[in-house]
Amino acid sequence: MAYEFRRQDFYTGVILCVLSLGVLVESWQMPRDLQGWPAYAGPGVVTGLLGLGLLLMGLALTIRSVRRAGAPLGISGGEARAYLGEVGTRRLGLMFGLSVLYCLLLGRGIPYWLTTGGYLVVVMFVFRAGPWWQILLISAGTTVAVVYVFNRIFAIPLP
Amino acid sequence: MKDRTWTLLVLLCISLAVAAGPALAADWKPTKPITAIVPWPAGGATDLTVRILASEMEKILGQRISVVNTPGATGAIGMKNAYDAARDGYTWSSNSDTSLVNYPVLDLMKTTHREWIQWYALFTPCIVSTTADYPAKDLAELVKMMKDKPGQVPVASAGVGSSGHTALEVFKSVTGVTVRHVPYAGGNPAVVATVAGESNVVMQLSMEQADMIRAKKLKPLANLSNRILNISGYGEIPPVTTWYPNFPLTGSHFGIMIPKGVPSEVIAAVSKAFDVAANSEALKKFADQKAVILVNLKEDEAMKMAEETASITTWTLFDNGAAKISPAQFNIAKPKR
Amino acid sequence: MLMGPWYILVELWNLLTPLTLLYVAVSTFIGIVIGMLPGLTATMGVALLTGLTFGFPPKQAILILICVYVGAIYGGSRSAILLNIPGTPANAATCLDGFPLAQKGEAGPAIGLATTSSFVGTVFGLLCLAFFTPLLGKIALEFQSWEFFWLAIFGIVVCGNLTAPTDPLKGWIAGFIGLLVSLVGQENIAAYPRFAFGSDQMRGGFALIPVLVGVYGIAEVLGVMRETVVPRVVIQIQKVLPRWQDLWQYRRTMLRSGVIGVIIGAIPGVGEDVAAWVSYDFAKRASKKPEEFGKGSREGLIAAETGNNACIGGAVIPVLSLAVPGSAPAAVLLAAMWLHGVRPGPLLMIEFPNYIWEVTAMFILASLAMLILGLSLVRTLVKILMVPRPILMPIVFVLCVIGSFAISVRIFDIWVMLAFGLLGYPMRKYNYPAAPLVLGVILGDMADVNFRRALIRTAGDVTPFFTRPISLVLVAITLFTILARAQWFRRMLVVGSSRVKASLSRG
Repeated sequence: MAYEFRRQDFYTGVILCVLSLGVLVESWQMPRDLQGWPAYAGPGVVTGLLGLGLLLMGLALTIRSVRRAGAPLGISGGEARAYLGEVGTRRLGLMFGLSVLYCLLLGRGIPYWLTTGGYLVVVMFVFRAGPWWQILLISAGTTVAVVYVFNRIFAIPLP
Repeated sequence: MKDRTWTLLVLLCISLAVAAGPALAADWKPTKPITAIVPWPAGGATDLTVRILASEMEKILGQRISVVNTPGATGAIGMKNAYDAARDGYTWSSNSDTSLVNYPVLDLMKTTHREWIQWYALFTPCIVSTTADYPAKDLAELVKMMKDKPGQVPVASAGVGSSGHTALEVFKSVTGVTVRHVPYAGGNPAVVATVAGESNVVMQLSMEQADMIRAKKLKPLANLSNRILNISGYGEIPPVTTWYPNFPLTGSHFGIMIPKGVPSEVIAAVSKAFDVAANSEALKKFADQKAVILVNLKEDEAMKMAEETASITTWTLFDNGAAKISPAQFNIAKPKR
Repeated sequence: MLMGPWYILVELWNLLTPLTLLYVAVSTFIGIVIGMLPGLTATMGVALLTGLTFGFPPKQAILILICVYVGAIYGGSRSAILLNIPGTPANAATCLDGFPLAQKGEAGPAIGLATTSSFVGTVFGLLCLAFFTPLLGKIALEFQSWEFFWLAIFGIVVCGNLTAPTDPLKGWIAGFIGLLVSLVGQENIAAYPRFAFGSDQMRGGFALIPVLVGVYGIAEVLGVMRETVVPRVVIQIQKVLPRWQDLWQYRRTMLRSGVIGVIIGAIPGVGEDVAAWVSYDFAKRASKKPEEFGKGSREGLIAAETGNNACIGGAVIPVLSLAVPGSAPAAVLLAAMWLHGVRPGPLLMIEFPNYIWEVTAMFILASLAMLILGLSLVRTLVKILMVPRPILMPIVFVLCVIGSFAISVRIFDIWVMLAFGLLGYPMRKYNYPAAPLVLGVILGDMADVNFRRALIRTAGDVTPFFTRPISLVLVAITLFTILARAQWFRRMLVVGSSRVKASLSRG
């Protein structure tokens, strides 16, 4: 069986190594004499151990991906373009972008029902969920239900 | 048609209000639910106090007060949320005075207690208790045992900066003992650990210890105030001043807080509602069960009390190194001893 | 003790008024809805209803809260099965087998099975509550820092076993990342902010709920929206009720999960989520078909759902006997009891010995309501699967956002959720299991704080870690769990047992 995700594993491994080195450095810099407790009770002990473990795993992942055969490690410009051009990638980017935009608008004084209803309508339109009246109906219904259940029944403040 | 009815109604109300006199006219009536932030998990001392207060104050203010738990960073996150909210009187916070005054010196918040208008309903003193079968018979004996084995008697607390920890630090500086401070993630875990024998001594709030004391699972030696504390179903616990007359008052006041800058009629209305809630039967019953003392400190009185707490707690924490920022930076006076 | 069943019947009879039955039905339904909504947990549900029932008489108020608690822990299984998003942390283990079952078109039977197992679990928990409270109440005090540390280590080992069978390394990586994530922010020993980089919000750390909702919910939303064509699920809803023979076949799994659930419930601070994982793991080990786990095993689904619901009764045991909560929702339940003037704790047994029967009777009503409501709503709920994805997914996203926000009213949590969604999506794609990450977040703080506190307590001496009786048992179980994965150890066991058998038959 060919080694799946060789390239992804290689880069993940490298990222993990960098990340865990960061954790180790941070842990080392944490104070070791807080409140007169000895060093073994310091805040950096467990994080340091975990960082060390993660470093070893990151190394293992990197080495494994280099040694086993599979897809080449380098990324060519053509492949990247092909990936970005895929329908799936575009759909993913669109969904995530719209969702981030929605979250950015929350908690900025714009009424919750407006942002939420707007988000639902836009996403459903963009992804062609159905005829326009259905989209409007479902969005409005969902927004009213969410506001009613969360704010009126449970009295949770809305963002 | 409908509009006209409304206008008529409003006019009627206004004329009634004018007729009733200026005092009523200035009253603030909330028109939407109020949010009371509890910066601690549900079920803690602050949470319990606020839920009772809220349910009583709702009746007077005529609007729902929803209690919201926003725990994290020793309560600083919830406090910050309340501080940053619109100053319209619809977002309250709640806390103990001990936590509130400590935020600036522990570098958790830039704002001091002077930025908040406070109302305190309950005072709960700290109690020095030991595991039920611990050999010390009274406080003097406990101090002697601590002196015989310096740095070895384990004392549980709810964590750095908590009321129990502050009490311990005051206790250490007054009696001159050293102990082994074992911190837990909250008052109840610290009390349970002492019942189980993992630690031998605990100095948490009376509220957190009352039931274990009644069940004889903890042995109270002294309460850290200047008068006798009576726990119904157990009996009297002597004050620490019996042995150390100059021992400063340690314990916590619990209540609600609103940042300064909200309209004055809101403050007046809250004070009025709070006054009723603080004298309510529900709170009295709760106080008796949990062995706490009812107080009714509003606005200026509350601020005066917080100022005293600030000078004791912040300086104790600064002197022992738990707080890195000097209380002097915030013009908090050093306590007179 | 012998009169117990009689007292329970008396208390049950006292509760049977039309009004209380209405309360039971409504509050269990609210509980199920809260459980289903991603982000809203049982803890949150009980806290919300505590506020709403403040003016009620104590008996009714506590009854309502128990119904919400039971309903929410069960209700979370539905979103796990239908959407692959656990409604509460307790149902994360349910996703592993529930969702594959739904994809095979067996959503109806899966929900039916989850409902029945939850019912069995709740009943098992309440029986233990009724008859073993004095005994199990003691466990709560036996668990101290040393034991909690080992418990956390044991959980991490379980985590290792939950890793994708194809690639354990990736499972361990996910687990370690989870552990580290839980240690971000102010720690609980000296209040030192770790990895906060001066930010107030980071100082508060990453809460479990936004992480959970992100890794499961957002990753699912993104993954589904990426696909242009989603395979349509053929749904058979003719059989919702599981057959009696099927249930009987899994009686061992149910009993085992029940026992595990109750014991984990009785241990303070360790709740339904851990109970579900541990009973799932044990079921997988004991199963004759462990290879089916994670691909739609009925046994796995039963184990997870029985375990987390049995935990409820277990968690209430120390509440009543010691006033020490066994889990997070039980902590809020305890607070509500205090607010209503009920004083659970060591004195309860002396002052109001009947209270335990009363609570048992309340649990009986709650579990029955859960069973009836649960089974009657299946057909409608399964239709969720037929909603076109471009309509369903944005709605799920909105619910995820409001759920993460509601838990502590912080905008920061929404961003945490998004960030972990962005992490969860590639994790899923490249074979990193989400389960160890979530379990790591649950256990990290426990391992860290108890390890360091235990050392403070003994001034650096590590011997209590190995000499205290329960610690020793936990060490043994943990070692056994690790070794059981090694081939040579298993072979040794088989050889050993056959020799013992041989010598027995000879003698």
